[in-house]
Amino acid sequence: MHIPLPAIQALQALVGPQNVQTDEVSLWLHAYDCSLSRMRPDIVVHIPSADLVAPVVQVLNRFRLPFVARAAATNHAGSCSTPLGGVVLNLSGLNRILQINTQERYALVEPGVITGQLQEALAPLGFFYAPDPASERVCTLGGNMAQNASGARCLKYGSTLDHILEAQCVLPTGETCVLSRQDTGTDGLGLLTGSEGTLGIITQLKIKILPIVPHLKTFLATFPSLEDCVQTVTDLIGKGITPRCMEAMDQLTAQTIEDFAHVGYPTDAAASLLLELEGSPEQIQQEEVLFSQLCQQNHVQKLYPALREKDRLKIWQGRQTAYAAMARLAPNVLVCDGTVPRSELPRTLRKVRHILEENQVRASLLFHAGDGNFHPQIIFDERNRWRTQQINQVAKLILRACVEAGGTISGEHGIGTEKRSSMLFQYDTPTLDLFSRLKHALDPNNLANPSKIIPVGYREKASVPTPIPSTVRQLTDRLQQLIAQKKPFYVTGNNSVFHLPKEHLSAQALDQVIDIDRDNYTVTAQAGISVKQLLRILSKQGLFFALPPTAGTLGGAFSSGCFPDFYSHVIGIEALLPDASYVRYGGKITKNATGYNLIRLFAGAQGSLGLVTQLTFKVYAKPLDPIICKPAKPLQKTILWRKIKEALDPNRLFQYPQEKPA
Amino acid sequence: MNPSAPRLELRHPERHIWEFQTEFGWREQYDCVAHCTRCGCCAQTCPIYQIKHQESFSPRGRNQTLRLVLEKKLNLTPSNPTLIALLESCTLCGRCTQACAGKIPTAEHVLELRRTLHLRVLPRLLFSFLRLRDVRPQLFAKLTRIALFLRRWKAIKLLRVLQFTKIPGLSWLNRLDDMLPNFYSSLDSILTAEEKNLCAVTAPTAIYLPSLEAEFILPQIARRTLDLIKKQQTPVIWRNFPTGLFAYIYADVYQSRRTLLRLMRRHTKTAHGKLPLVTDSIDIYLFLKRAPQLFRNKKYWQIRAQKLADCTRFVTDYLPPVQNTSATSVSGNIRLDSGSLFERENDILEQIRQICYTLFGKNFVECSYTDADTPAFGYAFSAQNCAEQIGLKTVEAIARTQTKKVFVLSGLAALELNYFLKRFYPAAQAQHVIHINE
Repeated sequence: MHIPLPAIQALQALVGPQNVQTDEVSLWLHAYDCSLSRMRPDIVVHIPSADLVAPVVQVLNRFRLPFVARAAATNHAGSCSTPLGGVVLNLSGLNRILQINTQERYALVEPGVITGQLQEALAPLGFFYAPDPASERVCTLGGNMAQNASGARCLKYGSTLDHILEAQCVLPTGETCVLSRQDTGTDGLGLLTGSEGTLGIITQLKIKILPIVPHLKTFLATFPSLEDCVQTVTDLIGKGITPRCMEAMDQLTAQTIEDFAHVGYPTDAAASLLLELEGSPEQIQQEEVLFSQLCQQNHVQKLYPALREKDRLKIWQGRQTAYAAMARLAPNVLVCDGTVPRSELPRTLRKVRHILEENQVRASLLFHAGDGNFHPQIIFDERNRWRTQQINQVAKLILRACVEAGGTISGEHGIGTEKRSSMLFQYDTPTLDLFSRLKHALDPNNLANPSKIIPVGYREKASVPTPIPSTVRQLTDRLQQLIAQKKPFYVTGNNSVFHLPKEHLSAQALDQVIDIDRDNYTVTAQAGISVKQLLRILSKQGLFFALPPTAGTLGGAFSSGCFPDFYSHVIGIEALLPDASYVRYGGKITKNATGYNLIRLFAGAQGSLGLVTQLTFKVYAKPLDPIICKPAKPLQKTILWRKIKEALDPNRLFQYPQEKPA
Repeated sequence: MNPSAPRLELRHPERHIWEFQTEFGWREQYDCVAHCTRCGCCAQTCPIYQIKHQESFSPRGRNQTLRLVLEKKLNLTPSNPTLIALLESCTLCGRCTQACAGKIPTAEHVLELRRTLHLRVLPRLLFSFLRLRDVRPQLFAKLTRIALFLRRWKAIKLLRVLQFTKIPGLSWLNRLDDMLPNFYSSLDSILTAEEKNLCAVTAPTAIYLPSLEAEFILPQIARRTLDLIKKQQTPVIWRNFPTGLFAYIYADVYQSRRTLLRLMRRHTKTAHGKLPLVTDSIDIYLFLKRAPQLFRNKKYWQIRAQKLADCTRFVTDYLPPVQNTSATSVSGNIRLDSGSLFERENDILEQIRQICYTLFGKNFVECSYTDADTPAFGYAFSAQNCAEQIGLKTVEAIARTQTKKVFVLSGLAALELNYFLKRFYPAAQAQHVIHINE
């Protein structure tokens, strides 16, 4: 791509000539990340101060130059590569921890701060940052947010998304905005998290920090089969215990790690489970008794508790060296991160092992046992092109197997360029269309990290859309009528919050519980079901969920913005868009880094962007702390919402409450 | 050896190393860089990347540059300032190799690229002067003594006052003057009459290869080393033979190989090459340990080089065993810095770490992976700005842990660290590690 001289001069004037590089060496050195993609940019701009990001993006918009923001460039999906050339904005210089407030439990940081360095700064103060990606010593907090990274502690504490309180960002068109958890309306923060820099550049973050738990106990258990291992995890969650971490591996992986790190992993067991409990000493003791009972029930071979801190560290050291153990064997390691519902793990892992053996591929198989996220680490030599192509095909087969098991192609690494084509396995045309429209709404010139996430020519290649469920069909017909009449209307449930006077499109007819999955502890219900009724049904099953007994419907509780803490419990959504197309996102999977987070798009949007028809959410075996109900407020028309509304509903048919409820 | 593997420079193969000794056996240059998965683990341990935060100053960038050059995607041109900065900025400390899962020898790759570009790195005058130690050791010794004598009579001070050191290419004199100790005793006054004539010993049991600093600037290192060796082996002979380390880093492998061959021959002549070669310089020790990689395709010389490597000892091998009695008697914290070239994890460091744990108990502060520690061997003169910032970061880490004494594996590194400590944290002091249980 040709970079016009005035553009270079304008950038030099902004950031200084020393921070603008156009020489061959610099360009090639910004052509890669941890993935296999190598695409050379045309100019590299080092950003010395966060204030300069917006003016730089404005200049790039003026000259229509595509740009990719990056910091440590350690992602596995090719999100930092520049397929169209253009500009690389290096944010690794923005690496200051601005404030640590232990009183209000937050840290204010710049995006280039290394996650591990923040942990080191927090530790002496008695605090920690919960998301713990395996690469935390090298990845940045900005990158974590861009990819919605998570790690072993995700099951208990959630992913990065659940720990961002506020973010300053620069939209692809150069406007700056502050997105906060306090905002009412669409959860812009949630939408931007995991968008891989395609919807904006983060310039400052306010993140949640938590006090360090003083008591931990780690166990290493071995099982004769993967099924027994996963069943133990399911039973444990069924007893209402959520361990701090639950990591597992198959026999081959344990052998490879043991050969490398000599940490004492048993190599004769089909599956090994690493589990860590936290809490008060009494609580740990109770949970330990329960855990060992469950292990016995599930034919445990050996159960080693780490009695000393040294042993505990040794057990985790083995897990942490898994990547290194593979990396020493061959020049390249391809790490997949498909995720399936937990109950599907044994079957999928067997299938994956079969795929690997069939193609004579050597790989280790690790998995976060609690959330169904597994990492086949395939070793190969990329200099052998034929073999590399074969490995890519194998990776695709693995991802397809995940989707077929009701899972997702990425749990924590994101899509980038590497898994772009595999998006077709997971999403149908309307959903991919929505992703594309969201991107276009915020980035009309397609400049921010272009050619990522959305597959090329998806309209021709995507699978045939799954038919709209018959219960929703009636509502779709009604919506189409309203669209044809160009009649504005409100989306309502029980209409119990805002008491809207005009024409309604009510979801009340959608009042079924579709599925109660006791293996994965998820429930799928239609949006029109009343929360009280849902609570009754679940209590009969001995299950609990996050919402308190309110007068409204499930969809209402999700869309009204009164229960923002409920969003993180929702893991799947189906919705009707203003053009009557039907989109599906997520499922029974607790981790999902595939495409834009549609759950957060509709959360709190008060029906202004579409009608939520179905939700899948997490349920628990023990009662939860009640979620705080916030007073209903009219929608906050943030810049992000205005742009999306304009793109999805240009005729403004989907009305939204303008005033506070009486 | 794979004849079709891409190489850096085919015209002068004798000036390069094609295969490196790694933890996983011999690996060809291209194989080594191909093992980089670009995970970025190295970058966060690199003292230069910690300052610059740019890919062209990261070990990952350095390895990828070599790979791109080997794959003919990038031309090596000395006129590219980014490329020169990329190669000159590396401290060769080896922290990246320590952090790397594939143990990629990035420092060796940087040296290879420097050799291809004939990059001298050091200021011309300093380079020519130090090179004399390899080619004309006696002349070098005489000139050094004269220079030190003149310095004692404030000759460099005069040059500074007259602003001669502002002449391009002479600015390193300022740094050198600041770094050298103000008062130093000469080697002659420290050695006994017998020791002064050590070369003439008839039936030696060990050979002492002194470092540059022990020989000329810090004779107390030489004194202590001799004392330590003598407790186990007497008589000792003194050999200030050049080893080829200087040429290995600042010139080419051909020269280095020649010097090393000379050393091997001399070693063989003395008691049939069976005597231990004891050195107080960690850099010389590590260089001699990797000597076989300079003779990869010459089987005979490779075996000889391996023998030499096997005979090489670092002075800490002669430290008396320590008992866990004095752990509580230490006032203030103690820190251990490597300050060596090429490697940050080796048996020596591990051995001294254990000694420190035994001697100082909880007062022993380990240098964490993000702390910059002292770069070595001429870096202070080749990349003054970077050296200054790294030095400050090191002092910051030392002050943060309220450390009183820092033990460094190299005398030169201790000198440089003292220079920073004097300026910013005079409460602490750096010393060569042989003084650990004095």
